[in-house]
Amino acid sequence: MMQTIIEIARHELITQWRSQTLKILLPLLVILTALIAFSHWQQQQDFIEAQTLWQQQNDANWDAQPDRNPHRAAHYGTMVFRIISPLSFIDSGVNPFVGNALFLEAHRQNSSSFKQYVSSTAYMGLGYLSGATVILVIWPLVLIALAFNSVSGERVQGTLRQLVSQGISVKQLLFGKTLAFSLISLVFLLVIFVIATGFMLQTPVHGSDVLRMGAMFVLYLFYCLLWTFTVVLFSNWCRTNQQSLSALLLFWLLTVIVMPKMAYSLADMQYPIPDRAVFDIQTAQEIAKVGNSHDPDDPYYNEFREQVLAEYGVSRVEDLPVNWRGVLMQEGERITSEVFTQQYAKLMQIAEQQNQLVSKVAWFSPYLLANKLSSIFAATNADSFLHYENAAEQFRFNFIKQLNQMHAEQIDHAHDREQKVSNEHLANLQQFDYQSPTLQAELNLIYPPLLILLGWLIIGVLLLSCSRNEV
Amino acid sequence: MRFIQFELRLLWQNKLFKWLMAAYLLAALLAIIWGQMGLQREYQQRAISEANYQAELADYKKDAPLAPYDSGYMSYYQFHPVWQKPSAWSALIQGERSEAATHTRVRLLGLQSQLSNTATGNIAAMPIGKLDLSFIWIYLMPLLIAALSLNLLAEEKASGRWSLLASQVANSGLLLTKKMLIAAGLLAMVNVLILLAAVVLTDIRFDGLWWQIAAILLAYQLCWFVITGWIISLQRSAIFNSLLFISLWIVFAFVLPGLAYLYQTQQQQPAEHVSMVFDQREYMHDSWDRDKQADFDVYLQDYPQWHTTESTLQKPFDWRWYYAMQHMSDVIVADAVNQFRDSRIHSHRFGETFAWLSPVMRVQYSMNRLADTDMLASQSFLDQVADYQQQLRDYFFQFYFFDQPFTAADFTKIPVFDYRPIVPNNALITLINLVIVGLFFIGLILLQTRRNRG
Repeated sequence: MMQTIIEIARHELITQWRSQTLKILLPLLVILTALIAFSHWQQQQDFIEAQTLWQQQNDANWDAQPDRNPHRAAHYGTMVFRIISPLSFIDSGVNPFVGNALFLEAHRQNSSSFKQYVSSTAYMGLGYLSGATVILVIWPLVLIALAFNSVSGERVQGTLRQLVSQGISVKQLLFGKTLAFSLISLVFLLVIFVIATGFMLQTPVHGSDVLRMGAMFVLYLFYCLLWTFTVVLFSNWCRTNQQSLSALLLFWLLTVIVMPKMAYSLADMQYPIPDRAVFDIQTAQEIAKVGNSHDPDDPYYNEFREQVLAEYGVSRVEDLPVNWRGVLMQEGERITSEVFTQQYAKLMQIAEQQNQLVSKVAWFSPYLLANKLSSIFAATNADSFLHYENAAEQFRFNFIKQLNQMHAEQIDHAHDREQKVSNEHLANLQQFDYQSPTLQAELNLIYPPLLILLGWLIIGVLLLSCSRNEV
Repeated sequence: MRFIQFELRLLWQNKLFKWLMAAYLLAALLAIIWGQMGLQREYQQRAISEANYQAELADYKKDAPLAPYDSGYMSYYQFHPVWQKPSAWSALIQGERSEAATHTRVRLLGLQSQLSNTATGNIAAMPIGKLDLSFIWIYLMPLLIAALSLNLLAEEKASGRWSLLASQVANSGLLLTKKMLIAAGLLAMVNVLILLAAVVLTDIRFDGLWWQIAAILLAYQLCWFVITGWIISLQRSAIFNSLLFISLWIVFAFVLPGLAYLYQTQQQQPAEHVSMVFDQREYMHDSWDRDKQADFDVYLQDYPQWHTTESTLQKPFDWRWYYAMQHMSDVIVADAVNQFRDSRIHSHRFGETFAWLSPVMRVQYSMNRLADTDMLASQSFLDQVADYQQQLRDYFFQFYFFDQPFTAADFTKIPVFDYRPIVPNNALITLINLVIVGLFFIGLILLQTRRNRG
């Protein structure tokens, strides 16, 4: 049994080796992918370097600032720069679409929209040009071109009848063909990953990146395997070569291009996200609902004042051992940050609802599944970006809190604005030390799509094994 | 005439043809309805911000007339909504609108740090993109054309009808051309139907713009029919035809746009424009530690329209100085802002030039321009917001600089932002481009026919 399959695969590989299609397509694709990977790698290194420099300059500016009133320093704020993952050059994920600089100041988090590049990505309607896109979008087309007639061709030419009469079952034939085309995919992926590893070795590599890259390789291999199953099965099911080709192209178009786009459009219709202006208004309204710290008659802040006065056992804010303005600002900051975090979480919840709907569609689109997993492995997925934003907001809150504490303890209430604290105190504030989530921490994201993908693979194997000897 | 009738009947009996046409029409109608719903949502969001704006102003108005110090206070807290009002066509052609915030709010503070706010949205959706009618037209219609006509000859040959037909007419090439023209004519009718449906279902009007977009769409369609014709003229197998067509489609729709983007980005320094926010913020905050009076004197020299104001600053704080410094923080980063604008425009122009090579890119650039959803529109919006903020400054400064109270009547005179789309004008170039591509492939067909005969 096994020997027959290997023999069929060997025979198919020899046929493919002699065919024009493979000779043209494989080198072309490898060159294209290598070119893309090279230029993305180079851009990625430039970007990481630029972001690191910006961060250093920001930190240096902070340390070198003159003595300042803490509230002034809180508005001067600080900037943090998201350093993109070293695997972005294979799968850029959301990176080209998001701003990677955050300006953090008192009262608000300003995520800047400065993208890595100013050019529009809208003209790449079939997908952002990256190594992952070539593997996930274009390689299936190559597999279709190579293998659409692998079984139907034998049937049309009558060679299938011969094979069956020699005692070879269709099942063996299908597995043999699958093996052959999987090996071709493996060669393609190996070449790409050897080149990619070459790039990676130019810089210090962390163990986790090796693990991530390995996971990507295995994922792509599974994905190619799934496509090989699909092509061979379609080729077996269809009467003619032309039918097989048309059906496969239609299948590709639907699952790789149309369904993903349609799913996100549908999700956006179903769960609309407020735009920038409305989101800002909603946040401001929620903050105003709690109270207005500038209104001397505001009930919330009056009560807060009474509480603070009672805590220190005095009757006037002027008698407090701490600066009332600093205390008040910290309370305002607490409310603002809390409401902002809540409102932002609401926004993200809507996005999550959208993504949930899409993940239902993804059951039927291996591309969507693989695409999601690939960006998780590359640490370029939307969640990794949001993780960064959240960490930055927490950092911002603590940062401003420390400044407000300084304000309360070191600045006198009278003539508040004219006083300053030494820049040494300011320089002592902690810097943003971001830890990106590990693969283990993201297992809950990885499991669902991975299991569905494996499920499809098992179904593929089952369908292959159930193929009957129709000639 | 009898020939056309016969061919039409033949097509009508062809199930695949009917299904594909119906699916195309249905998908297009769905895209129109979705697009229009999205557009209406944008209007609703705008209505929310407008209502909020009026309510906030009414709140301040209750205390009118406001003393200059208080109206200075109002300008600190009062945001003014700005909206890149979408054209009716943007329902069908979303273009680059989702890439930047099109509806936001500005106040009298340093503008650049306000403009760099991100748009809200589902980040996970960005790499995949959305489906709109322009995507169906530009990316999917070529495949429909291939499905309709690519194998006309190969199928006729396979069914054995071709030798019979070819023996009856003198010029079999002409016969084939006629058959393709009928398919093209039918698709053109469906496309016109879609365009008319857009007039009924959306705010699109039956005007000059409609005709321009219709002309581009039909020329684009014809262009792909000619490409298909060239492939047929090679007289190879149906399989070869399909593979060649799909390769061409991938090159035009994926490889060339991707390479253009790669080239565009190679021309840029990554994230260089962050410096705008950086420098602005340094300037703004350093100004608190500098000699305020000296800074203010310089400002009055630079802006003589305000020089009749009382030149000595009030202690401990003067709104005039504050807003002057906010404005100056924009002025000192003007070079960086211009560079940012130049980078964007340059990148856009390069993409447009590159589009000569790919009809897919060309039509996309063209439609985005006609629908006012491209980068030029987005940049014009940013420029107009800057102009608007200048109007606001001119208006409010009168009160602070000339010590005027802000009365109830003054609220109604606050400048209002009204986005003006820039005039589209690239339809002709697009048509020329498509004709050139069409002629190129017609040339190939003629060459091939001569070779086939010889």
